[in-house]
Amino acid sequence: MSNITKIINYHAIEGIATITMMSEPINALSLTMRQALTKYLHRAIDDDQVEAVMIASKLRVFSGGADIEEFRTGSLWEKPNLPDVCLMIENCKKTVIALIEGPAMGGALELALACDYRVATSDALMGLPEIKLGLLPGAGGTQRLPRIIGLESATQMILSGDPISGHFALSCGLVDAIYENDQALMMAQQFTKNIMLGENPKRSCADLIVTHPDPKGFLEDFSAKIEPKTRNLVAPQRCLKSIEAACNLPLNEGLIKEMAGFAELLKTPQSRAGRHLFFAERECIKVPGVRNDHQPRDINKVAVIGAGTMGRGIAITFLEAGYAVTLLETTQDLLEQGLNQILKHFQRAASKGRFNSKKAEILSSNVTGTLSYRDIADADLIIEAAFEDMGVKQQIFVKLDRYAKQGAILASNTSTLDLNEIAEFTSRPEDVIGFHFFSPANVMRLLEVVQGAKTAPDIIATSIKVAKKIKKLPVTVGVCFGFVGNRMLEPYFREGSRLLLEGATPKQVDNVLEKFGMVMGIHAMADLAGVDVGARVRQGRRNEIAHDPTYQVVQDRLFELGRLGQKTGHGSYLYDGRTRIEDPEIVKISTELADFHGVSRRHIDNTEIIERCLFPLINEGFLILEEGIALRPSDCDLIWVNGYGFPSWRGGPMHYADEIGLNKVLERMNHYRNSLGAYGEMWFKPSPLLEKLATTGKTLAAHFDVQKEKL
Amino acid sequence: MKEAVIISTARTPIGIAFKGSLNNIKSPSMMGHAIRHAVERAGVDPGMIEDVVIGSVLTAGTAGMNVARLSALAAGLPNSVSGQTIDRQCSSGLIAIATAAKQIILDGQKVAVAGGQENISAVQNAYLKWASDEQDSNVIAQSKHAYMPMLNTAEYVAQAYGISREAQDEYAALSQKRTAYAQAAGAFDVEIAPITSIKRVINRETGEETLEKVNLSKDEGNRPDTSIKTLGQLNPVIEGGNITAGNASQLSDGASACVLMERKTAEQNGHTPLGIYRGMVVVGNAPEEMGVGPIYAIPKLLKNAGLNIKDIGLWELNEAFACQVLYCRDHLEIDPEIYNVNGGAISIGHPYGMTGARQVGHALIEGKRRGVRYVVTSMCVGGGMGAAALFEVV
Repeated sequence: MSNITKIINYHAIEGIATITMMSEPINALSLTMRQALTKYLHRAIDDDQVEAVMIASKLRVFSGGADIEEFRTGSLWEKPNLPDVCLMIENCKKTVIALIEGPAMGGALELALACDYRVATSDALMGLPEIKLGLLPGAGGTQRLPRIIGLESATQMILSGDPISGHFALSCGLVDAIYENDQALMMAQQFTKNIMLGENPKRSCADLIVTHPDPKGFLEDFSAKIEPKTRNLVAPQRCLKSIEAACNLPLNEGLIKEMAGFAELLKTPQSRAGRHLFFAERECIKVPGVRNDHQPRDINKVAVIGAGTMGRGIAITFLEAGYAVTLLETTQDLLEQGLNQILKHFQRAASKGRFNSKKAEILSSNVTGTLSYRDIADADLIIEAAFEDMGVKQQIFVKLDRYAKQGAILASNTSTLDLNEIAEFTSRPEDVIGFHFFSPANVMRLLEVVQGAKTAPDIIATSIKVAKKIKKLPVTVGVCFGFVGNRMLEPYFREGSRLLLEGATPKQVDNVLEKFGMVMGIHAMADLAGVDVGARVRQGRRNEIAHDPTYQVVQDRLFELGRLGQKTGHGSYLYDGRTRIEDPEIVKISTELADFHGVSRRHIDNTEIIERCLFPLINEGFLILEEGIALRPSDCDLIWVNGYGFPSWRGGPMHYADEIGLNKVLERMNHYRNSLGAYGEMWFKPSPLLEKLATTGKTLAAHFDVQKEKL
Repeated sequence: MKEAVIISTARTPIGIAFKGSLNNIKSPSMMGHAIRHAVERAGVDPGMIEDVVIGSVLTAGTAGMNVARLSALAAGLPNSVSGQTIDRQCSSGLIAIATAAKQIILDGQKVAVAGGQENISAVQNAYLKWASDEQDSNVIAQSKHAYMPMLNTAEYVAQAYGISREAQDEYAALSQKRTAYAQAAGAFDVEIAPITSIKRVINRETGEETLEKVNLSKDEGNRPDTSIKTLGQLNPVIEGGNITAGNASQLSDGASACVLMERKTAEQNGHTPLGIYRGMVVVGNAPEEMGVGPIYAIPKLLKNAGLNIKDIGLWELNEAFACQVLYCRDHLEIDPEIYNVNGGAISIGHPYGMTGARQVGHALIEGKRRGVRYVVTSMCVGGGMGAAALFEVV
C-alpha cells in the first residue's frame, strides 16, 4: 500500500507527558522531527493535566543529531530550527527531562542540554562532534555545556569532538542519574515524579553561570596547547571564542554569538572540506551496476594466503571483526612466525587496553594455520596477500580455482599487477576481485575494491558489506596500473624526486608538503615504505618510463647503494631510531646525477615545489576520472585522505582543485609544460577533461553532477 | 467564440478520513501538491496562470481564508496568480472547472488552474457542529428538509423509489470490484501524483498518539475483497434502514487539479489537450431527495448540447450512495457498461470538493483510452441540486 516510517509518539499519563522519538534509523533532527517535537511540546505545555514532560527515544540511539542531508536541502535553518526547539524547552514553565538511551550526538545532546534534567543508561554516549566537520555546536552546546559540567570538561569535550560514556557523564554532572537499560523508562518516570515533589522542578541554564577561578587563563592555556596540531584549522579557535562568550555573557547574548560563530565557520573552506568528505563516504558505496537487489553473499569463513606483513595485517583485521580466519603459507616456519606475530599483536592490544584480555583471547583463538589448500576449500572469502610477482599469483590462483568451493570470493591484494590477468588464471573470473589494503592493513582505513572486467556485481555488494564489518572504507576502482591511489602517487613522487636533481633537498620538499598539510613528506614516506618497493615496481615498467632517462634516478641510486630507507637506517634521510636526520650525501648524489643527465640546477622556491608535486597528481586524477577508473572525484579524495595522508581539512586533491579553481590548475600545468622544456612536454600535458572544464568555468563536482549544498 | 481546453490533470491519492494517511495534512499543502503537479505536467510557465479556482465544502480552519489562494501560494505559484474558492457542496470541484472554463471563454483569460479538495479529517467535525448549532429557523419554515443530513436523504430515496438493500449492496460490490481491477491495471496511474505525508495514529484506549511518515501512492480506502455477502453483514447506520457504511461513499481526504487553457493559445504553444469544455447545468430539486438531482440536470445538459443519452461514450456520476447512483442510472437508461467503469466514491471515497475535479480528469483519460467522443460528469448535491457537465475528448 504505502511505505510507513514512524516518527514520534505522545503519551500523557499520570501527569507526565512522554514524547518518544522513533524515526529510523537515528531520529535525525530534521524539519519534520522538529515540527513534531514542537507540536507535542505545545500539547504538553497547554494541557493542565500535564506537570512534566519527558523526551525519550524508542530506537537504540537517542538521536544522531542534525540531519546532515539538510545541508543539501537547505532545511537546516527552516523554522522551527533546533535553537528554536531548545529555547521552547528551556523557557516553558513545565519541567522537561531527557531520557538518553544510547548515543546522543551533536544537536541531539544540545536538545538534551536545554532540558532541566538528564538521565541516561550506562551504554549512553554523549558528544559534540561538530568540530570534526569544521563547525561548532550551533544550537547552544558551547553556551550550555560549560554551565552544566564546568568550563574545563566542556572545553575538552567540544574541542575533541569525542563522546563520553554514561558513567563519565554522571561523574561530571552532565546527567543526573544512570539506569540499566531494561529499567530505564520506569526509573526515569520515578525520577520525574520525585523532581516534581521537590522544591525547584525547573533548572534552566539561563539561571546558571560558568564558575571557574580563571576562565581567561584556562582558555589561553588551552589555546596555546592545541595550537601546534590545529594551526591550519579555524574551527578550534572559534570554538574557544564561543566558549569564552559563555563565561562572560548572559545566556541569550551568548547564544547569539554562538550562532554568529557557526554561520562564520559554515563558510570556511575547512568546513566545506569536512562536509565534502562526510558526504563522500556516503556516496562511495554507490557503484553503478550494483543495485539494491544484488544480494550480498554470506561471508563467515575467511582465508588469507601469505603470512607476510600484509597477510598478517589483513588476518588481524578480520579477526578483530570476529571472523574465523585460516592463514595459509608455503612453509611451516613462515606459518608459525605469522601465527606468533598475530598472537603477539592481540597480547599487545590487550595490555594497551584496547581489548580486555578475555576478548583478546577469544578473537585470537579464531585463527588457524595450514600449509594445504584443501583446508581452505570451505572458505567463503579468500584473500591472497603473497609476493608481488605474476608467476606467484598464477600458481596461487590456479590452485584456488581447483580447491576453493563454488561461490567463494577470490580476492587479491595486488597493488601493481593486472587483476584481469590474474582473474584469467581461473575458470571463474567473475568471482575474482581486488582487495587493495594499505599498510599497516589493520590500521589504515582505506580499502581499494578493484573491480575486474568480469567481476560480478553481487561480489562488489558483498565486498562493500564486508568492508563495513571490518571497519574499512571501501572505494571501488577499476583496473589500470596503480588503480587510483598509487597511480596518482606516481607523478607526485616523480616530481618530488626530480626536484632533487634540479636543486631542492629532500628536507626542503618535505617541509613544503608538510606545511601544505600532508601527514608526511614524500621522501620520508618513501623511506618508510622502503626504497626497494619502488625500485622493484620500476623494474617491471622499464618500457613505460624509458623516454625519461632521469626518471627516479636518485631513488634508483639509493637502491643500488643499499640505502633502503628506515629499515636500513639510511634512505633519503639518516635514521637514529625513528628520528630523521638530513644527509648531505643526498645533495652530492643529486648533483652528480644532474650533471650526468645534463639537468641544470638552481634555487627552487617553495611555490614551485608545491605546484609541481600537487598539480600533476591532480591532473592524473582527471585522467583517471575520464577513463572511468574512479567513479567520482570524491572517491579520489577519500583515497588520498585515508590512504596517503592528504590533509582532510583540504578535502582531498580533487576538491582542492575545485576550491582553487580549475583554471589555475590548468594555467600552472601549461606554465611548467612550457618552462621545463622537453621534460615539461613529457610530463605536464593537461588532461582533456581539465582543459574542457577549466575553459568552460565548470567545477569538477558540477560536472559529475554532485548535489550541491544549499546553504 | 473561444473554447477552453483541459491540458493536464493531477491528483493526490485519496486517504481515509480521520484514520488514514492524510489525516494530519494542511489543506493548502494538500491542494498545493495537486496544483504543482498539474502545472508541471502541463509544462506551462506558472507566471502565465491567471486564476486558481478551487471547489471545497468545508472551508474553515486549515481550509479557510480562501483555500484556493493559499493553495496557489503553497504550490509555489507567483503572487500574480489569484485564487477563488467555490462551494456548491459535492459538485464544487466540477463547478470550479466550469467556472475557470467560462473565465477563459468570456473574460479573456489564457491559462487557469481549477480543481477541488476536501480535508474531512481536519475540518468536518468542528465545521458541521458549528453549522448545525446555527441552523436558521426561517430556512426550515420555508423548506422543512433543507438541513436534512445526507444519510437521511439517502434513506428517503431508497424508500421512495423502492431500491432494495440487495440492489444497493450489489452495486457497491460492483464498485469495489471495478476499482480493484482498475488499480491492478494501472488505470489511475496517469492521474495520481504520489504524496509523502505525516499521519497521526491515535490509540483510543491509552490516548497515545504516534506520528508516522507515509508515502501514499495509491488510493487507500477501497477493499478489493468485498463481496455482496460481506456487505450484507453490515448493520445499517440508521436502525431499520438500508444505508450501510458499505453501500455509501467513504469519508476521505484528497485534492485534484487541472490546467485549462484557451484552445488557440494551447495549440500555438504546442500543448496537447485532454478535452474541451462543452457546458454545464445545475438544477435545484427537493432537499430530501437531493440524491436524484442528476435526473433533472442531465436531460437539460444534453438538450442544450443537442445530444441524447446514446451519444455519450462514458459517464461519471458520483456514487454518493448506491441507492441514488443506481436510481439515476436506470431512470435515465444509461448503459451500465459505460457508467462509473472504474468504480467510484463507494470504494475509493468522496472528498467532497475533490470529487468533481477527479471525475473530470479521470473521464477524459479513460474516455481517450476508449476512443469515445463525449463524456459527462454529474453528481447529486447536498441541499437538493443536481449538476452535470459535458466534455469532448480530443
